[in-house]
Amino acid sequence: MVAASRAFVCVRPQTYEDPEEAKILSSVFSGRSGLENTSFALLDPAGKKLTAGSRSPSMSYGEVERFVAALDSTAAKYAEKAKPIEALPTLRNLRLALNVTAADMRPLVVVRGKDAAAAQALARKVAKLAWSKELVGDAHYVVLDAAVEFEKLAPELGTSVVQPDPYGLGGKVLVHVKPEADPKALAKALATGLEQHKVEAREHDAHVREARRRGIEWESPIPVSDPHVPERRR
Amino acid sequence: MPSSIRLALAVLCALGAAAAPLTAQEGAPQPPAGARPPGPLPVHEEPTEPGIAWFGTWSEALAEAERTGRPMLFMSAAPQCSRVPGVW
Repeated sequence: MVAASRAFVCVRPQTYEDPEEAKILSSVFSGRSGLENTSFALLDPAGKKLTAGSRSPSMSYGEVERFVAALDSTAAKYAEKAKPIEALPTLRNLRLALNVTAADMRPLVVVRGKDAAAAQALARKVAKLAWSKELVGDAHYVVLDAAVEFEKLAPELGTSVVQPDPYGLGGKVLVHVKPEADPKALAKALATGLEQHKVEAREHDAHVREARRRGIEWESPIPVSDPHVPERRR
Repeated sequence: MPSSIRLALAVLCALGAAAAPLTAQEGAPQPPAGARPPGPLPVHEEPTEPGIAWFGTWSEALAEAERTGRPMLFMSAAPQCSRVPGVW
């Protein structure tokens, strides 16, 4: 399935986190109560639905083989004219990025420039590595152009590989490289950081219990409307 | 293992975590709502294989899909489970 996904631009917006994006999510799939925790569809390059929206691939296809076959047959229709993906796949902001990478148990690569232009220039350098066969799908990325946001984790500009804590409330910088690092040094730093990334196995219910004990709660800008989530847990 | 469960697990793995982190989200449509399937509790383990390379925002993904002419695999998810972060 991961191999089949490489022919697609894969997008995983975070539900309840952005009002404008929520409209897109609702247009893909929405239940009787409105937005649900997850939504799924295959879309054409203009963002129009190629399949009916649903809550998940398992709801649409039931079996892995059917899902992969649908990915392959869809990709085949666009393969002839498809160009390589070049943009760095980023998360919206540091707060979300730490949370998502903690949930995925992946390292987070933080690209930080002195201003927006510098950050984007650095992001283009990192993107070439992010889509290389050695690193594709191994990490998540966030680009910061506001210096203050990342100060708690690392005060310097450049590219950092971060290991988020289990709740994504903070993290530890594993490797840092300056903005002027050449591509070889940048590649080495990323590879080293990804190799150093380690997380301990977690049991779902224990993770939730510990969060309740410590009073850790995630606040979303949009109220949870999924009918499968009990009111007291929204 | 039933193939539908295999797909759910495979999608969960592709989302990034290795075992079954999305119980509350992916498992919810199966009655009773929110009930955990029989068996051991899900354990989250560090993924050892590359996952799907996800764009995190719609606008950037759409721009890249339009530029490359590639179709889009769209899967939204809430980065919380009952308001607890660090888990899907």
